[in-house]
Amino acid sequence: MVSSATSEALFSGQSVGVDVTQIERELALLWKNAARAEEGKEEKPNDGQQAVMRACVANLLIYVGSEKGTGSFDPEGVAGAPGESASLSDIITEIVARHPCRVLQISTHTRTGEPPIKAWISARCQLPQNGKRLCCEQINLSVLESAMAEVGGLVLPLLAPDIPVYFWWLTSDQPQGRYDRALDFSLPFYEELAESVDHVLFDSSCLSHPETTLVRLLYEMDRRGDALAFRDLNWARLTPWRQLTAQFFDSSEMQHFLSGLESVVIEGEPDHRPVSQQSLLFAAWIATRLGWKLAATQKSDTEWTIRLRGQQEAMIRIAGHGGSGGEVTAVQLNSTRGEQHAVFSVRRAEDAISAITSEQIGEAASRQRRVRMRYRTESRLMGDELEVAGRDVVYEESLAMVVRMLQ
Amino acid sequence: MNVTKDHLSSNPFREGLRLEKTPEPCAVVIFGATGDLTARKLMPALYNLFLERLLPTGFSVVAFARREKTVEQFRTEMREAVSAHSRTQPLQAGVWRAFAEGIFYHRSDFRETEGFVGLGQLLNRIDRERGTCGNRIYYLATPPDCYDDIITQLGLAGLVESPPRVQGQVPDSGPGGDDQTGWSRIIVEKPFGHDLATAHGLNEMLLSVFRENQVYRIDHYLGKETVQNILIFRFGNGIFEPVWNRRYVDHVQITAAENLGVEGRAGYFEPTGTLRDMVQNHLLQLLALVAMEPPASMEASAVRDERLKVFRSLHLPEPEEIAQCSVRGRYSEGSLAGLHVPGYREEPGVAPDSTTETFVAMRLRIDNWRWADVPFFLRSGKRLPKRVTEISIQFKRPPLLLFGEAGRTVEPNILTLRIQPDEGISLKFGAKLPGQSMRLRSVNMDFHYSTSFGVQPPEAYERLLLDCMLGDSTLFTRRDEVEAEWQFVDSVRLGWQDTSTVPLCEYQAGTWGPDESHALIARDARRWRRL
Repeated sequence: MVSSATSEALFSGQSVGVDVTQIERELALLWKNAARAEEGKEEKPNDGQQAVMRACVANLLIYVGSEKGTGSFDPEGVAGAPGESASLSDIITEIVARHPCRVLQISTHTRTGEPPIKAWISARCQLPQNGKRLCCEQINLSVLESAMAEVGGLVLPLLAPDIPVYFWWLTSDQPQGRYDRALDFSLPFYEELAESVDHVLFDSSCLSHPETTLVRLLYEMDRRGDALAFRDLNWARLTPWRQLTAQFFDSSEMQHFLSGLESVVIEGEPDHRPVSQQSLLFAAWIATRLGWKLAATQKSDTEWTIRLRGQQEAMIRIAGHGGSGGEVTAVQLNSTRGEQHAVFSVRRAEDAISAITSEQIGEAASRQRRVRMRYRTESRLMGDELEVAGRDVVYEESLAMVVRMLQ
Repeated sequence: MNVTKDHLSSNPFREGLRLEKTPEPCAVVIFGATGDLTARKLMPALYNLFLERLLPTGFSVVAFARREKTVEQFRTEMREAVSAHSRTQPLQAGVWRAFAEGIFYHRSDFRETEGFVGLGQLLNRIDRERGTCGNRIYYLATPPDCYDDIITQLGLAGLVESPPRVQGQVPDSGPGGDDQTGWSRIIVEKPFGHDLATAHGLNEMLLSVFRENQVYRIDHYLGKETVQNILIFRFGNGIFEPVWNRRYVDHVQITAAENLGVEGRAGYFEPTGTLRDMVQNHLLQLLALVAMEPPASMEASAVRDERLKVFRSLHLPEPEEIAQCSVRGRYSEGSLAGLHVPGYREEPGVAPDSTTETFVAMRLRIDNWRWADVPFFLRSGKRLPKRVTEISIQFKRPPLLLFGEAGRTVEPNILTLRIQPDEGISLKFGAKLPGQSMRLRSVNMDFHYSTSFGVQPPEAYERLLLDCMLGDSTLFTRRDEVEAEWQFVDSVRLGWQDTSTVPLCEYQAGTWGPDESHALIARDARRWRRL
């Protein structure tokens, strides 16, 4: 049972093992002890301790797949910036600082001789300006793989009621420390959880078999309709690229170049394939927004050429080179309208925190500007996605085009 | 060339993008650019918009000021200012360099015709080199006494686009006559006049060169996230609007308290006073947002029409009523946060025989069907115990008090919209104290922006500057609103002329205003909220 002493330990970041059947009760005790401490503090206000406030605007359910090793679970290796990694714990800390959530983290193990399901509770606290410690709860569940069918029944009563439920679907042991088996819709708890979840968040850059997984994902999107929104962090990474591309055509004078668009060149780092999933998503976005139909795809070891039909024939060339993070690095759109040729481009700058946009119309000198384009960490991406509600139809259409391109 | 929201929506790449606001290329000309406002607010706001990729390619700033300076000097000064005052830190060197390439400095006096001709030449060059397409925003960051010269010279130099008027059509912007293309807008900082007559004169002068839909009167309060949230709170939720009327609301209190004194701004504050400085604009705008009817749409004209209706429904007190519905005060020396502070008349730059008010409390009536007989209490002052701005809606008690004596201890329901600091909303309601006996206590249900949304909101100036570039005037004050506000304020000032009936009451710095303020609300059997 959570005592006053263990409460303070919890609020200072430690986790405490609790009986699986008593999780809510233990959490209630945790807050009760905090309230008592607060009352005591009123009598001696200068004891140096901050009051604790509980906050929760959503449930964040995280499935992390199998535990590494046999010790307490602390998964490392969720990708941060290219070449960097941040622990899942750090990522969660940053997410809850932006969106106070009840976090439920589920991992699996294969150790026999232990209880099939073990639970820990902890509090994640921060100190905002008003001086009160702002805390959220976290529940960690470690589940024997053969007991995974029990997860749904265990988790559903633990969801804080009547607030959104986000399901961040991570899995394990991908090359470069990323996670594998993402979006395994055959997992025993998926069907049960899907009924109570509003948003599934995943990262399509981690898919080892996108050709099959994305087809199944499209099926799920269609099947669930408005009841469940799927959000792809890899798509979210493209948002600044989409914004900067869209900005070229905000003015009515520039919009006529859209109908004259004849070729698009996308350069990107390979992921585990020469042409990254992100580059394909960007190509598909361009094609679907302009109403282009897929005519043919030519694939080589280093680039893809995609031929499309719209008002006129168009081509998208995707070249893979550079690092291995799968990120788009440059985009160029070429258009001819009458006698006038126009080139619009966005290129990531060498400083890695900005991009250079350029537009050249006819013979006029090109107009360039440098804008901020920071690499968005996993926590930042997640924070942004937690601000959005509902389906992203533009993404779904783009994804369907990606599937056609892959096939 | 013109980018409106319609054009944005006709850009197929915009579909599904959360960020829909990117204006077309333009140049912002800041008059009085060497002043504090530019360094502390405008330049950091523009830099942050640039940083967030919300400004278009070619965006440029022309600083227009009287001091001799080179462009490089000015850019260096602005870099330091942005480093010091930007909400995003640290300054990103690469992005700053790109932003600074678009900053220009033009030295001239506001009365020199040649200076404005030179400005025109500079803007034309920027159009050619940076593609700003003749789109200009003129920002008057100067004392009001410079407005006349600047506006006249802008007109004489042909720097304001004025498309031919088509009957039945009021174009927001478009290609102008002669060789002028693009749009022109002007942003005017408060005070918008000193009274109704001067406000009217300022408007006439503005409208001799600009059209009303080119004029953006900025009240930075309206750009605050929490102020914008008033409309979302009221009209985006189903449960509040049905009780938002005379049937359920007992009274409304709006407080804008400052703990600071005049802080070296005596030159501005002495001829102005709290009634003009705070009530005429900020408090009346807050009042309008609380009291207005649901607009037909969120279009600028629809929202501003509804705000105007509130001002027009304000009861204009007769001189003999003023003593009953207003109190004015002036702080004397006192203690704040453990420090001794001087009285207003002892502040540097303040006349020893000053009659300027530093505190106002008022009881307002809104004579319409929704608010008849519901008093609105406003108070604002300097050197009050703390800095706080809030609106509280106090609801009527239940028609029958059950629970005997225990029920009497419960306070009425109060809904509080906290504008600053600790932005948020709270609802006070009664709850049973745990135990065998029936004891009740009032508790607060709280929403704090800082705890629910861990993101830093943009500065008010960022939102307002961007809106102006996009041609969205919803959060700016229209001519008729300003004049209606002054009409009310003038009626109060007229009553105050008789100092024997409405004396200037002293209050000690660090207190919640003069005793008369408490008496004012007590006459209605209410009391100010303890903040």
